[in-house]
Amino acid sequence: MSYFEGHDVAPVPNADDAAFWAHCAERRLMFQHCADCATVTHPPIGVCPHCQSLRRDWAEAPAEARVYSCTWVHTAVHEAVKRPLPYNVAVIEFPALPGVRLISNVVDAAQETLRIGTPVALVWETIGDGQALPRFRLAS
Amino acid sequence: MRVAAAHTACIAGIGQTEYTRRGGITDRSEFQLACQAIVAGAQDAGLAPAELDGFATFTEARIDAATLQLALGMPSLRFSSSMWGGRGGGACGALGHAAMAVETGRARHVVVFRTIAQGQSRRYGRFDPQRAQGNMAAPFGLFTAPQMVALVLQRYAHLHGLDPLAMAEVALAFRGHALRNPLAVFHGKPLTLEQYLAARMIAEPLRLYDCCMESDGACAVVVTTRERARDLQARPVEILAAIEHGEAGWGVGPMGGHNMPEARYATGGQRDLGRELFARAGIAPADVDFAQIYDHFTGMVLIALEDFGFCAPGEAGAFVRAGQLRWPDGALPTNTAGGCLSEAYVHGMNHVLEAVRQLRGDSTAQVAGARIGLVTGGSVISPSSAALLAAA
Repeated sequence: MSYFEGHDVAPVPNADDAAFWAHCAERRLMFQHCADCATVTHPPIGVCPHCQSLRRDWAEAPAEARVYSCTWVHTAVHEAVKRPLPYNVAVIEFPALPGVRLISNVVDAAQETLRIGTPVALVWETIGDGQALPRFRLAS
Repeated sequence: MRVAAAHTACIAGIGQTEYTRRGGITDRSEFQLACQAIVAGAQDAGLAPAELDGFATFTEARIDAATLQLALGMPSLRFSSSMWGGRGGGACGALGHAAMAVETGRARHVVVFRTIAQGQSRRYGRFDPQRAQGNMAAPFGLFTAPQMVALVLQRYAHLHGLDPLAMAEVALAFRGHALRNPLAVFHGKPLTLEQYLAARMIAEPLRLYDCCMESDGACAVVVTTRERARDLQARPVEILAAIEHGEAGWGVGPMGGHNMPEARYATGGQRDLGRELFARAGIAPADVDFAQIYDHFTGMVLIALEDFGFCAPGEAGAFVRAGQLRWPDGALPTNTAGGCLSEAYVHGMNHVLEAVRQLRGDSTAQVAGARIGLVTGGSVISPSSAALLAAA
């Protein structure tokens, strides 16, 4: 069962982020990587903000990850939220990839165990139609 | 470019409709509200609506310029612009566009306006599927502005500490000002610290009264040159500077993927805006007699005080808890009509109107001898904007 108990909002891929979501469907967390200057950018915008190259490939997320910021949401403002409240939203950072952060959830965290700086590890949750979302669990 | 004094842009008139809670206005359309506010603004200046010849607005305007020109009976539309800064970030930028238009002679009387009827259009406190980079947020339960801003504030709290009583003081001070303002939606509705603390949590650290209201209403200001404004009936207010600014690397910021530069993550993205604004006007924060700070969330008011140079990073909480935002005794009376939290949510146009009232001596919480006021646009959105206004 997924973090939002099967009601998760599915991404609607667009021209710039479709490859990101296609990689997610293959359970690979890949960030936009400039084929010319190697700058990594997230969210993918199709152009390198450092050298303006349109040529990109994809760089795999490092395994080591931790919580950069997090909140507990106490209100259900969207029909997707059927799970018990509160739920968490976390901004995840990768120490080996400065400047790249990913919004996600820490699926097994309690309010006492989720802190800025908490180490986390990637898990994949399938939400239907073959799409998978990158989520995280507390790293031991 | 320093324009000759006679050509300096001034605000010559202000107009508004009543403000109500979301869905409170059902007998007029959002378009009619815009026209009502604009006509009132022209009348305040002593102009006929047909004498207007320009429009300046900002992102998410649902009003068509041609229809507006038709409705107002304007023989010529010489200037029309919309700043890209979204929602609350854009009011002062649109004001700056209007100022440029009149200072360069492209138009004579430009009106800046905002109209919001959330019962008819959309609720800003709900999920917006059109949001840029929404794919990176919505699948993870990040749907609305308070949730997005909560992440910035939690990081700020981690770096500097965030005193819940400082956030409470922002809500209580602005509510206190609204109690003096009969036009405020929360006029006649006092708020106590006990009520504030007992209210439900929205997204930590934001409780209900940390979040601005959803409301209906419209505002307009008429901009012309100082030379023309002198011949009109209202006391003019000079636009010392009204600029927009987007920070390096900010992107969609907290409203998107949260990948703004590390050094600016726990800010409102307005530090460079503030520096450029004061430099352009040739004054310093200490010269400001009052502020109208965009208060979508209490915590972001604390951060704006730091971004605009009134406090060092991490020090706004103590400044606020010392009562410095409160009229009449605070060092920086702020949101003297109640702001987004307690007057109305008109994407910051109501903040511009209150600054004009202060500089005319017409506020219901009048700052004695007010000469210069700061108005800021919404933070965490880029480009944002801000203005410095002065009694002419």
